Amino acid sequence: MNNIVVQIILIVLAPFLGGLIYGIERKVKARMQRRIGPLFFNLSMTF
Amino acid sequence: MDKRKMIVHSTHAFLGIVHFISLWFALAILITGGDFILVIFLHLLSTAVIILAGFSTHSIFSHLGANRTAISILAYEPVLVIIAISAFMLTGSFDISALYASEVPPLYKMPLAFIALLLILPVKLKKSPFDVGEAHQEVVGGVELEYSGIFYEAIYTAKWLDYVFCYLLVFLFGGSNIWLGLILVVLTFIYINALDNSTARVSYKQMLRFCLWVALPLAFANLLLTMFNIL
Repeated sequence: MNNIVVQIILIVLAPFLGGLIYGIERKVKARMQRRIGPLFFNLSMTF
Repeated sequence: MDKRKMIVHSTHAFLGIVHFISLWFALAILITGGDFILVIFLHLLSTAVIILAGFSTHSIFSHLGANRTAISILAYEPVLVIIAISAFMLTGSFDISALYASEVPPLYKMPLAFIALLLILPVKLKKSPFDVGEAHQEVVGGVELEYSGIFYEAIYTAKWLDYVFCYLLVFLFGGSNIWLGLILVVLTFIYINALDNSTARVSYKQMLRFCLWVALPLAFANLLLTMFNIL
């Protein structure tokens, strides 16, 4: 964590990183329950 | 049709934003290797603010959720403070950067503190069996119930920040060994999800009893071991 650029990038991207973790968690949890779970990056559903 | 902006009152909305910002600050200090105590108290501030927001409404579910969140703080915060003191005993400083730079991973020197952290993480992340704070079947999400629109988004994003916060705390135990830190994070992620999937919610009294009688003594034992240089 010494690199200041890495630190700033991590701080700025923290909400997105958290969202990614949450997304992976939903997927993993669904797999544990033998469901497929949500689709990743399915932007087509937003239009 | 545009969504109408619906807020309970301006203070309630403001407290939601403060919750998000203070949590982001706590995370920023954790990432930059600042003071451990400051990180813990900024995190505490963010939770205290959301409890205030819960009490500021007339919703009974919001009140119940705020009560339960306050009890959650009582359960995990002493353990976190003792872990910070253990880290101080180990490195001679409250600076998190000292833990990041530690040649010997803190996991080897503070194993009981790590176990205590694993025990309180489900409380912090509101995961089963300790998800009493936002138990949807009982209090319909608790303190976040009365939020909507962009303010609910702030609360929800704060929840994501909490994930990063918690997994960074786990990552700290890897010290300068980044790979060990990452392995710990992945294993903790699997553990928390497996636990969340396989357990039923306990009552808030059981949660408090478990944390104060199991996690807290473990953290305290670790503190004594570190203090007397046994590990």
